[in-house]
Amino acid sequence: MSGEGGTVVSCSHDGCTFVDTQVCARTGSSSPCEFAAWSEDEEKFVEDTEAEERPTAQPTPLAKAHPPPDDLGFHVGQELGEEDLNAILGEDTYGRVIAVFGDALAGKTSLLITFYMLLAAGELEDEGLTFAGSLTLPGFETRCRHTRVWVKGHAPAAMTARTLIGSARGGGFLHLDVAHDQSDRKSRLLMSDLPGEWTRDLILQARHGDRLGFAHRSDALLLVIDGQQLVGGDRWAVQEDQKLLIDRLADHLGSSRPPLALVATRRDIIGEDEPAVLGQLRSHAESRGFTASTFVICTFASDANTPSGIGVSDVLRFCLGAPAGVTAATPALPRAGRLFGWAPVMAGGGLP
Amino acid sequence: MTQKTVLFVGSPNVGKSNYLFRLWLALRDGKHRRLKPNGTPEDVEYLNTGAGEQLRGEYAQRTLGEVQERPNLPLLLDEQPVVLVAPDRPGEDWDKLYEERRWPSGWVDMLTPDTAYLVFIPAHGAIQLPDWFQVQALRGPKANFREAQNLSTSASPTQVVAVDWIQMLIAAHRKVSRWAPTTPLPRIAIMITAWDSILADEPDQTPLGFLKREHRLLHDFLLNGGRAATYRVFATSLYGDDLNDPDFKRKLRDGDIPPQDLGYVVTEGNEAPERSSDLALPITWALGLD
Repeated sequence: MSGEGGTVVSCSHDGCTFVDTQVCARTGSSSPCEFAAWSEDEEKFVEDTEAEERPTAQPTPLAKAHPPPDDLGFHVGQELGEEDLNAILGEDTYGRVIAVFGDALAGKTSLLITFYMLLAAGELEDEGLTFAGSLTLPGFETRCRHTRVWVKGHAPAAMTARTLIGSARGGGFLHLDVAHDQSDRKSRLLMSDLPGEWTRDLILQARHGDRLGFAHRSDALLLVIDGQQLVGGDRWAVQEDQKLLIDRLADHLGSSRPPLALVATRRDIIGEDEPAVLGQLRSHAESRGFTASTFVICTFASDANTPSGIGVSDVLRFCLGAPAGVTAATPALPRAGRLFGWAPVMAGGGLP
Repeated sequence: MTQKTVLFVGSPNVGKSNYLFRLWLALRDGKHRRLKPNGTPEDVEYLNTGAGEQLRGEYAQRTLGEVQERPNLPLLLDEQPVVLVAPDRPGEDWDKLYEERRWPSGWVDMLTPDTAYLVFIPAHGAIQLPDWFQVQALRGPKANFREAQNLSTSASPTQVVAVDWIQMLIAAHRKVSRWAPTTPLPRIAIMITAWDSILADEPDQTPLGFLKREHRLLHDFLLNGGRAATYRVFATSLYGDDLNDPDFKRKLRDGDIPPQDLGYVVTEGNEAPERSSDLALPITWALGLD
């Protein structure tokens, strides 16, 4: 029987019906499973026993049991789905699911890609954190394209594209493996990247909690808030919204209380002091049984007075279940002697 | 006879085909090494044509999309016969794998439990895109506000694509080998090409040091990834200098030293980088010898 690309398939799985029915008895799929063997030089199906009796060609034409090319375990790259979590959480790495909530434009995606870019550039080495892998590299690259745009005199209007996912879909996750302190230990972070509308929907109507099933298995919660809203005239309304969100999460999670981080963004605008409203939100979260921490961070600074990325490594450490680094906070500023291969871009009239 | 496949992985114009042709010349140079020819292959047209271009002082032209050469080289590896299969795929096909996440159907039989991989990274010409944080780290926070620039439509950085490929290759290896904790890990070599161009400016540079500075994501991934694959970094110079340099080309053509006696491979040693004139060293390692 011809399989994909005109090849012929046999199967070593007991009771295989693929040759007769073109339906895999093990998976129910119209594609053969990993027990299938592929051949390119036969016109008809050959039982395994017969195949073993065939003289060995020189050189051996084919390895046995090739899976079909679309069944090699590749992830789609842009993001992982909830169905992918079980598979990769079962591997030999300490896995943590991080549920990230926040209104549209609060800075959720900016925070996630800042984790990626700081690790990718080796900027967290002094804090003992280095990049160890990601099955969503194309997804990070897509999301951080806007960070490769510069406008003279000010920051671009948006550093990330807004996260848009169809309402019917489950959560999408970005993945990072992080090595700790030059030890053998690695942590696997699976961080939800959801549209802000999902958070807004949950605040307003409890029924929208149904699509946040993954939060039950989360190891930490991040609640990302635009820091400007915590210091302006709308702060009381914003605080009430965030209290409602905390209440919804508490109700949704039942008895489970993963650690909660309240992350205020835009430190470049509001300053490094914790807004009073943020502290009050922490108290509210603690009253609902959460162990809550607060952070004031800047992902992409709007001017040169605040370093981009300040405070972000503390949030990353929170996600990893590690205490905030003593040396943390300020990314290292310029290091001499690192211009070598960057010269074409850095000195070619493009950037300063 | 044992057959082993080594896949050359990389984008267009990173030196995959030219390494294959130089490897062919190295295997035929008659020098003592643990990997040597075991007779002459039936069909050597592809290899001989490419090697001939190099011996005339030219790099072989890029592999065309329709070319699907799959040289089979009968070899002796520590006196044990082995057939090396080294398919020469166009770099565009590898770029497509990054974009489409699907292994081409015509490549399926290249994946076996003991397939090894050489991932090519050019010393110069790799796609390296600064972002907001790299600019800040290199030049300070003010640098992000000095000048307009738009790199958002560039292709993904070379190191990102390379790490993504490697992760896919590991996934494929696990699938074809029906992976269990006792399954041997795949061997994946990083091949930094045109190393002579680096040493010309920085005589003390090391392959890992180069990766750490220029391709930090890839460097850290390799150092932290020892449980998923066995990695080794090689830096190669096919002829010790650049065939595109007219002066060197003239010297090569007019000189008395056979081109096969030129070129080298640098690897990380225990204390310092080790330099070898054996251009087959990466393949020897990929086939299982340390």
